[in-house]
Amino acid sequence: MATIFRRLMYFLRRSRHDADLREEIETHRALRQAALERDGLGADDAARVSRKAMGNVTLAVEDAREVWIVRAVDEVVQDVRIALRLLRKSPSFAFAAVGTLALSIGANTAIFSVVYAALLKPLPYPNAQELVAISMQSPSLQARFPTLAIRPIDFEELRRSNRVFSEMAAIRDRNFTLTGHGEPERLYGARVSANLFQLLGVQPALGRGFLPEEDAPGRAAVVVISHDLWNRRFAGDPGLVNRTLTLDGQPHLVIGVMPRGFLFPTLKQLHPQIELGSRIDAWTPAAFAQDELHDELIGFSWGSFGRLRPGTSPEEARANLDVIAGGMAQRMRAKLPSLGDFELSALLTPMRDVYFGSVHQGLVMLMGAVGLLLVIGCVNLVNLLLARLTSRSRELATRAALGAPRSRLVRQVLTESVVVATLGGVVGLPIAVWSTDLLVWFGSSDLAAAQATGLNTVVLLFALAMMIGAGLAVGLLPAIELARGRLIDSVNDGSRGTTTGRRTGLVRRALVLSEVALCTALLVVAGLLLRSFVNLLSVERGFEVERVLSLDLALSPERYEGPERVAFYRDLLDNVRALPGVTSAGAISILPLTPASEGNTFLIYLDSDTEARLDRPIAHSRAVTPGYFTAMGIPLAGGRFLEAEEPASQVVVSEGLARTLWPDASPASVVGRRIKINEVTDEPATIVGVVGDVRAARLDRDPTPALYVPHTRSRPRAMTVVIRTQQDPESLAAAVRAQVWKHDNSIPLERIKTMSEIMSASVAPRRFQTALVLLFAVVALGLALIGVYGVTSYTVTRQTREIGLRFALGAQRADLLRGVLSQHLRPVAAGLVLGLALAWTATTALQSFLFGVAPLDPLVLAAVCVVLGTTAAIACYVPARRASRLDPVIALRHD
Amino acid sequence: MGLTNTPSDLLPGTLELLILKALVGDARHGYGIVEHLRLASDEVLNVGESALYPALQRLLIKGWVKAEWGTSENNRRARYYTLTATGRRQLAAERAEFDRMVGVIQRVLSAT
Repeated sequence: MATIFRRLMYFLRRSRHDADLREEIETHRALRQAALERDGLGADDAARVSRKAMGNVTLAVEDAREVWIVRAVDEVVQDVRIALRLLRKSPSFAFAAVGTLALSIGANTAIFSVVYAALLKPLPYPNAQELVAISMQSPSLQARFPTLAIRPIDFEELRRSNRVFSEMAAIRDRNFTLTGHGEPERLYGARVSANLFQLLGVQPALGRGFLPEEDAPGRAAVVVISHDLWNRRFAGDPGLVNRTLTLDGQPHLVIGVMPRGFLFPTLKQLHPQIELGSRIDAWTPAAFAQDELHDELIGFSWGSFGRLRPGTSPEEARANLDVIAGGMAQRMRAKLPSLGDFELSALLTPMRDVYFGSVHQGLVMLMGAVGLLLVIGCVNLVNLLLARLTSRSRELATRAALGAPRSRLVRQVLTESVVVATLGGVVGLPIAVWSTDLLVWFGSSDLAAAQATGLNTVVLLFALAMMIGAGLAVGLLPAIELARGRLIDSVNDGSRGTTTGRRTGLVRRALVLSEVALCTALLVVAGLLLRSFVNLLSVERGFEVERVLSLDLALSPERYEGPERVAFYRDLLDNVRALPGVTSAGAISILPLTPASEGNTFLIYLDSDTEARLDRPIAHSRAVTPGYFTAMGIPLAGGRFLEAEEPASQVVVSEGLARTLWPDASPASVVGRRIKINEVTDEPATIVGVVGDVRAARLDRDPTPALYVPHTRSRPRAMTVVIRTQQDPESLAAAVRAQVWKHDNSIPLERIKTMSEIMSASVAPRRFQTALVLLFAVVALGLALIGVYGVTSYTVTRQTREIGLRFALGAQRADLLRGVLSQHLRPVAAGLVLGLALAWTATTALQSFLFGVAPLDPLVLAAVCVVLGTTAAIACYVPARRASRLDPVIALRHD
Repeated sequence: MGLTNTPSDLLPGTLELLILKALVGDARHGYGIVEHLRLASDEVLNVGESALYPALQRLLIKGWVKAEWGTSENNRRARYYTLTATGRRQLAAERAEFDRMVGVIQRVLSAT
């Protein structure tokens, strides 16, 4: 070790070192000259003789420095050259080895760059570790709401009473219609506390953030817009600040533009009950209105961020908030004694989990899967290298006999594998860049917050470490074998062409076994995911997706008062129904399987209830127009659908809701019964119909109880129109669009989507994971088969002479074939069994990814066994058959 | 004549052994080592620079000697070599090995 250090020191200071040597030798010469003069020579003669005696100083210096470098550096250069030459001489080996590593290093780097961006890279906020999202939990509601969002009144109290946050801000969704600048556009936005930007530590790139006094109701409306909107809609005009935009018909003063790439929660990242847009275009002050600051059991619809005071741990913060939450729960119990043992506690979510909590597990799984791929690839290479070395054993023996130290041969083997790995890495990097783009594109909605994924220093270092690690790991086993002298035959080895030594054979079989085991595990996981995905697509949804179009509409509030909204949708739907090719049409406030479809939930009370109680069912409430159920293909279980001019007090419930309220009643007998929506004090509503259950929130979740009210009751501004068509739904899109604009050309229209598209988008993350794991598993299978084929074919070639001999002695071809097959399929079978065991332990951790399939699904296990067994048998059979067809005469002469 | 060359029939490793021995007790520069060996061997051993300096470098790499700059008797900067503790131990070991080798060779030579 010290020797290496000294060499390194020399290498770093070599010019200094050379000068020292030169000076030292010159001194030597001068001393000699002086001695010669003392012996009586003239000064000139002495100088000449001493110089001649010295020979060339430069040469002497070079001789001396060779000691330092040549062996250390030149030998490495030489080893690299030899390795490259050897690779050039066997292009198929080079192609297989470099290709395998390029693929696995590329895939690993790609997945890692996403993992890095999502789970490791610091969030783009100063001191991001102090940032948390705050929500509430209540044990009595846990089953229905794992977490609760916050009411304005609770937020105010938390902000006032806590001792742990330096700042707290409230956030909720708020969308707008932008008019007056070309086509009307739907803007996605949020109401936020004035201090939000300050809390996050990100200030507008242009203009200013909100002033505290602007965060109050009744103030002149101000808005901060996103960099993206500023560029897209206003061509990055710096004069936009202090100008006025018309949002929902109201003038809003633009006071700032946020910087490009400002990270803010989208969709349900903030809280499952809060639905933000897929992008955020605009922020306005929260400005709680007086009627929002009530103390009722509704309005749990705000998210909240907090910045912990420096040095405060999340546990301390939670303890402090729990005390405050306890007080809030106590007040609620005092106000509503019927709540029983209602409790509240605080839940703090680290900021990273807000953005990446939902993808964390999936990414870890992908990283594991792709890591297995690398391991299998490496095992394959070890096998290839071993085989190569064995066939080079005579050359190695010759070199050893000619004096090459064994350490030198070992080093050369290691160099060779590192060179292969480096080449693999170099080829793999472009693959990584390309597939990272592909990953982000596929997984876009979930990974959007990862932003700028791609190559960076950390990712490059990871790739480099992987390259060197893989190189050394691959070379290690062959190097050890070599160092122990197992691969070096003696030069006059007479045993060529026979069964290889027991040990090397054993090593190879062990490698095949481990390869097959890992591959089996990966295949089982892929199979389970695939079955889950198929199950998901074929699950009883409760509605139909074929030939259904959907179109999101939002009416501007100042042009449409309540009754006008009702009239607009009624007239529009009448016109749409009249279009040729339309079978039926209707509208709903929140379409199933869209990002908002977990929101707008209400407690449903029996008519007989007199006090608020939390054990009543919670239902998704949806406003619908006549025709909605028919258009979506939702069946009627009892009573009738809602009709035109339906009184506001008549509602339809889902079978699930009816069953929860009256467990023993049939759907038909429920018709006519009365319920109270949200408040026990409300006027009861009468059930006129019962419809089928719908998986509205997510396909992989059981249907939630649903309440359908006539749109005349809540008169929503924004509704989704659904249209069932006779032919290809896309062909009607233009006509529908024209109908809408015929009624009002100031309505912003998004793209018209088919229901199948919406369903497909709702399962995108799962499809993404499944597709990737499946891809990795298929590649792993390919690698394992190459491994099996390679080992069989290699062994058979080595045994050529032995086979010839056995033929000559009368062995039957069939026996021989059977012998070879059983010899090589045994490790495959053992690997299969081991792999199934591996998969069994892995799937317990994967439970949450499965849907409708047991971790030990017999179909999947059988399929994996059959696929792997058959393909491995073929991979063995091909070389075995070749061996059994050998001409004994030629085989015996084989060298 | 062997003015600038180590006698080629010296056993491998012997030059290093001789250098180590020359440094026992005294720090010497390269020329000093050559002179010491010449005198100590009754003018038989005349070590050339092309053998001496690579050998010294090898000893430096192994850490058996260390070098420091000093001033020579004719007032030039010269590099003085001293034995390290490892070097001292190594000298003893090498010496035993050398004795053994010489004994072996003698035994072979004196065998009939």
